[in-house]
Amino acid sequence: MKHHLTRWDPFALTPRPGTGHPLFRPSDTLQTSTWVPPLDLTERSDAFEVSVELPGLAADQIEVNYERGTLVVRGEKRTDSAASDGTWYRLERSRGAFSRAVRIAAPVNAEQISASFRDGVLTITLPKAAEAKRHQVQVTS
Amino acid sequence: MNAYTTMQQMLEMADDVRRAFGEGDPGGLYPPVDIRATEAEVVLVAELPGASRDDLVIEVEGRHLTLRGEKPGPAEAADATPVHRERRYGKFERTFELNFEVNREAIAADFRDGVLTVRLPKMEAARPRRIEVTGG
Repeated sequence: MKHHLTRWDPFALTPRPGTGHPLFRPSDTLQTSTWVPPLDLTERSDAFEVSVELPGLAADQIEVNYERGTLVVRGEKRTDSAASDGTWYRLERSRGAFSRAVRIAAPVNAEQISASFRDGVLTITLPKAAEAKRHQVQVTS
Repeated sequence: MNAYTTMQQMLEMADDVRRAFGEGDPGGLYPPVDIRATEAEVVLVAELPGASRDDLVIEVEGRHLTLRGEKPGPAEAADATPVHRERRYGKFERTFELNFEVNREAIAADFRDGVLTVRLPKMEAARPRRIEVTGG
């Protein structure tokens, strides 16, 4: 007897690749990536700072998008592994495509987001929007 | 709750699941390395994003190669609050056994974009030798 069990596919109702909202593309995160680069998120009084470890990548291999409160960093690390001759004794470094998504919990000034890449670390600064900044209220008597 | 939040939550959940299964996480092995040997040399590649050259020490003793150092923690402003931490900081040390002698005088190390590459040329005596078979 044949069973009709269908695996639940959260993307079944999403548009075709390349159409619509970027977050609705079939996600690299769930399909091709085997690499989850470590990420730190820090909050300062005037900005959020996200840092991601991407050793060996070049700045032009990294794509950073911010939309509707979510920061998405994606890219691909290509290494010489397959092409190189010799004998491999260890292969611990991660390779291939990656995608990380972080929800930023407060409104940010999207126009002012900046990203820099140094020593294999991507640092993204997301300045808070005026309404999200902490401000002290004077108590008067 | 709208479609966007749902998608964000799924993306984050996917990240969590993969971390839970140890993918992308070198675990106790830090830093992660690739080691490849050719006839002439051994090449070790270690990932140390955020470290600086001055933080790294490479030692070769007999057939043991040791890589040690310290990755400084983030220099954070007084008003900074860590919200989420996955990156690894602090001291590290790993030792590898090489199955041949290397020419210690000719070891070269290069650190760029968070990747350390150490090239260890094999001693002449350790290189494979091809012997012609003659017959008559």
